[in-house]
Amino acid sequence: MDIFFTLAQLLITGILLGGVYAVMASGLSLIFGVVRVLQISHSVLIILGCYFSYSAHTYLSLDPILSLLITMPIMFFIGIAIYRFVVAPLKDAPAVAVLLAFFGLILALENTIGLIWTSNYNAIHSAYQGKSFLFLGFDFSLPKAIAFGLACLVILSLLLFLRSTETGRAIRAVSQDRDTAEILGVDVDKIFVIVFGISATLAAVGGSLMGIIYSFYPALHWSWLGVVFSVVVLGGLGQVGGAIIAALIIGIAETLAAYYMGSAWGPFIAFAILIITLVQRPQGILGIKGQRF
Amino acid sequence: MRNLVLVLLILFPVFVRDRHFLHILIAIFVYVTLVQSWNLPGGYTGYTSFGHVLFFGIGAYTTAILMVFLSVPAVVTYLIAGILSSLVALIFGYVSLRLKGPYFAIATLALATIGRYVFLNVEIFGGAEGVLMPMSPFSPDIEKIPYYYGSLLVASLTTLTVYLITKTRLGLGLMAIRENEEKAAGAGINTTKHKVIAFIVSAFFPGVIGGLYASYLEYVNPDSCFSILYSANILLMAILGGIGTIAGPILGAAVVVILSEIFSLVIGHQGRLIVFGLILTFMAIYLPGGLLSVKEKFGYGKKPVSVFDQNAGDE
Repeated sequence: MDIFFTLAQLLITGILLGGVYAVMASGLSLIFGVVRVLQISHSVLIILGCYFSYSAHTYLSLDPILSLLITMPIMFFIGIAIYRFVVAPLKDAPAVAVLLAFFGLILALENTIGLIWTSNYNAIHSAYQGKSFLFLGFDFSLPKAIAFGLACLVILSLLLFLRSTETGRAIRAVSQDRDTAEILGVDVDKIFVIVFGISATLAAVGGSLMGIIYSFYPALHWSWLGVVFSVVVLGGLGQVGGAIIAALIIGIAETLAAYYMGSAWGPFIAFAILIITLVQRPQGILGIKGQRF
Repeated sequence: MRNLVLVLLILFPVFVRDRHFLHILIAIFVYVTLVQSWNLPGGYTGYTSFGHVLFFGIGAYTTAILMVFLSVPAVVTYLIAGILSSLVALIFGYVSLRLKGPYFAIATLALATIGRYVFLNVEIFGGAEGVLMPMSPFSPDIEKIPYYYGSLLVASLTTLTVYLITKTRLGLGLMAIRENEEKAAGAGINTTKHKVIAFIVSAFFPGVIGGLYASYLEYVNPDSCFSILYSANILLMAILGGIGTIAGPILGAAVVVILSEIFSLVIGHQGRLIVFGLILTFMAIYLPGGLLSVKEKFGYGKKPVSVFDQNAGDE
């Protein structure tokens, strides 16, 4: 009985974490689905969002979630800048050149963060930090529950935006067939700009959600890189629906590994799942080719 | 010219005993070995690895463990380190059968990170503190000299090996794979065999130099031996010097190590990495052929050839 109770408790924790992972990975999935590049600097944007929330909380005494109202627009423009100055000039370049350019960006951004906020651990001491509540006999950490709730809200808004707005439909059209969309009058370059902006905005949300759950330091984004890539690859590259399921799987797997093998093995799991999926099942768990979103 | 440089490098410690200068040259030789060996699959075959540091780290730990726990002589451990690295490289070879271009790059980055976690978490490897190694048997005023010649020898052998391979049918086969893997296979090239050989050779030398460098520093730990900065430096040096050339890795390693020294003094460790990151991004966008391709880009000399597999990004 105790074993099952522990297992159920771990599942709950894993699912709460998975919800946040879904937000973190959604931006990456969107860019791959639409622009078809692997944005490996996405996790650095997440940690940048994390530090923005930290500063808003420390210096302006803003709640880390409320601070998103300020950081999301800033990150939107950072995303656009990345598209304009890094991705657009490499439009016809080989995919590996794009990856090298992003790799340079990771180094530059990570160390800029280190220069501004130091390389040491930081934490956001929000009003709900460290609190928890009992529900149906299970222990819920308040920051994780809040983060999960907000994650669901953000994912739902993203899906709604893609399904029912004019821009969302244009994004999906470009993702399905870039050339035809262009012939039908969709401004593909503008869609790419918007997608990079939205993706960075989602990174800001993911960052402040992680910031209220965990303490963080600049180089932590390397283990988040494993998380977001394993989510996107396991879910099927470019498929937002698959990514949500994959995020829950990674969240649960990581929680179980951290509990049964020791906390240091937690991040290892994401990388292991990434490599196994890439080699054994590159189409992802759902494995439907061509169908996206 | 080439022989002159080599003779000067061999004679250098006779005239200059300055520890700092010798250390900088050892660092350059270590990086020449790493970039040159990265270049065989990375530059000539079109399989860009973002996780080449894995072999360096495995070599370093092999030497550390063998010297500390089994008292194996240092030089013997270097060879075992190289062989073990080559065995691990079979995993890269296997991955390269399934994945190309950016997916291969991501997979190698993940493999190197997994390597770091394994050495961090498995107890016999000493955890985050790593392993302290026996003190150098040489007296302090000459202790750097054996490592100077050792790393110079390994760097030269790596360069020679890669150069000779590019002059054989094997090298031509590798370059054919880079240009178009399907057509190369269609022309009768055993692409699997070619790639596996390339990975085995390219992992051997970083393993050896990893072992040598570990005995030089007299300690190993996961964060220094598997640091992502090695992979970043390798990529930066390769692209600065010219990917898929023999002179490129030598030029790139020398430029980046010397710039590192200067920048660290002037703008600090983090400032240096910001600048290096921006240079890497800039090179990838505007000068993917390397520094020496500048004159070709501006209208004279031969047309620069893209070093990347043009088909790698397609699904």
